[in-house]
Amino acid sequence: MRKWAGFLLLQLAALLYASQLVQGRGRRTEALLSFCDMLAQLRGILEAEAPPMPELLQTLSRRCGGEAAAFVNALSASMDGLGSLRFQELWQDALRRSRICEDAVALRELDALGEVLGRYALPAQLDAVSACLETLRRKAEHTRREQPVINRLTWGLAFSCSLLCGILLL
Amino acid sequence: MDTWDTARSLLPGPFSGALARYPGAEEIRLRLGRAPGVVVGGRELRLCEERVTQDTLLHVLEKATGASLHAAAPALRGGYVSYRGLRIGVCGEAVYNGDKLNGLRSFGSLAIRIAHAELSECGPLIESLLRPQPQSVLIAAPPGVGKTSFLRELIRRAASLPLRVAVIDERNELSASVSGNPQFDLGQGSDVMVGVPKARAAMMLLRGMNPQIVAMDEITGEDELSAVEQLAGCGVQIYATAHGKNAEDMRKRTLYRELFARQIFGELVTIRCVGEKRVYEREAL
Repeated sequence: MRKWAGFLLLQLAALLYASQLVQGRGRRTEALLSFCDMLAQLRGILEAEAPPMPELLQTLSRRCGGEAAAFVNALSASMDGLGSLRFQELWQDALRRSRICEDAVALRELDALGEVLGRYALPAQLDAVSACLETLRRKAEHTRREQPVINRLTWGLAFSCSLLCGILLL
Repeated sequence: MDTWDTARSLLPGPFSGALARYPGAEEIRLRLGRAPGVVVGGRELRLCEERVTQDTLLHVLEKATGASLHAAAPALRGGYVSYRGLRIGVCGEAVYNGDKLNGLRSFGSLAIRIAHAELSECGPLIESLLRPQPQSVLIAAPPGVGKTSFLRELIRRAASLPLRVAVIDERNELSASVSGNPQFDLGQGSDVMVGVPKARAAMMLLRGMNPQIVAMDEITGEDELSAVEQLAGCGVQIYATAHGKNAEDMRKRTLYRELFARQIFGELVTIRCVGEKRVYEREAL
């Protein structure tokens, strides 16, 4: 009886772990997609109006959703620190408080974008936004395509490992 | 925060610390690859030994534009950006779109001008210009002597009488407005139009704000001359500045000769430096 209870607990733990992995992956994909949307909006606003950065962030904050909105709000709130800190540092700090920082590729690209935004002429900024958006979109597309397969693998692996351990236990 | 503090806040740490030794600084000169300079009493001294890098220049511009260099493009095309009453002159490589100057990039030098004019001594002169009736005043001086500071004080006192003073602040230097809020006290009765070319702004203000006085910095072109004449024709008094040592010096230039011939301004105030002091003189035109 005790062995069966242990077997069931082992199965449950493995499935819970798999569930966490799958959910985490889903959240990262959502974050990636919301950042793609934010960057597309950013490029559009810059092209159309080229407003000062605080105004740009306020407009973005109204138009964005999800993880990107939290990032924009955090960045907007930290703009008072401009001068003692560079915009690039404020940008990077807000990124690291966002879930997007769990994705190394996206983080690297967005970090690089922070070095250009607000510092150079408009065409250079637009080019940097476009390049970053392109990379993030490719990554998001790839993740979205691969995700069901990886999720199935995760579930299968968790189930089979826990089953194997259970058989050995019994 | 006065303009010296504001200028200091723009500089990166080591330069800001070094500026503390020069409370009377009139200008800070940052040139790529060279030690920064500070102008005191008309003489340029070395601020510190540390070299100015591209990052230093970008740091200053980033702070001055609120991380919005793109939004400052129109001012940059004019060779400067404004920040809370400071004018920051910019040198760099021109970027052209066809034959139209699109902006500047690869910045090489910045000149941060700090307004320092001591205006308490010119109080009686300003009072005499305002009473019994305000009259049109042209303020003339060479660059960097304090025309804009005098004009700002004249506006403040006139608008505190209170008269309705419409301020044309094309470069946002007179008011240093942030989100429509002037950072300099321009008096109760002042209305400020920021960023609109002077000739156009004059007509907008005349139609929309019913001013008794219109104030503007630096008459430099024929279109501004025409706008000033039109304002005067509508019974509006004008406060303006011009580059020049005195009336005689100004009459050598066609634009000002024309301006004097049209008899728009009743008074000319000239400012000159004697040592570190400013001398204000008034003459009827």
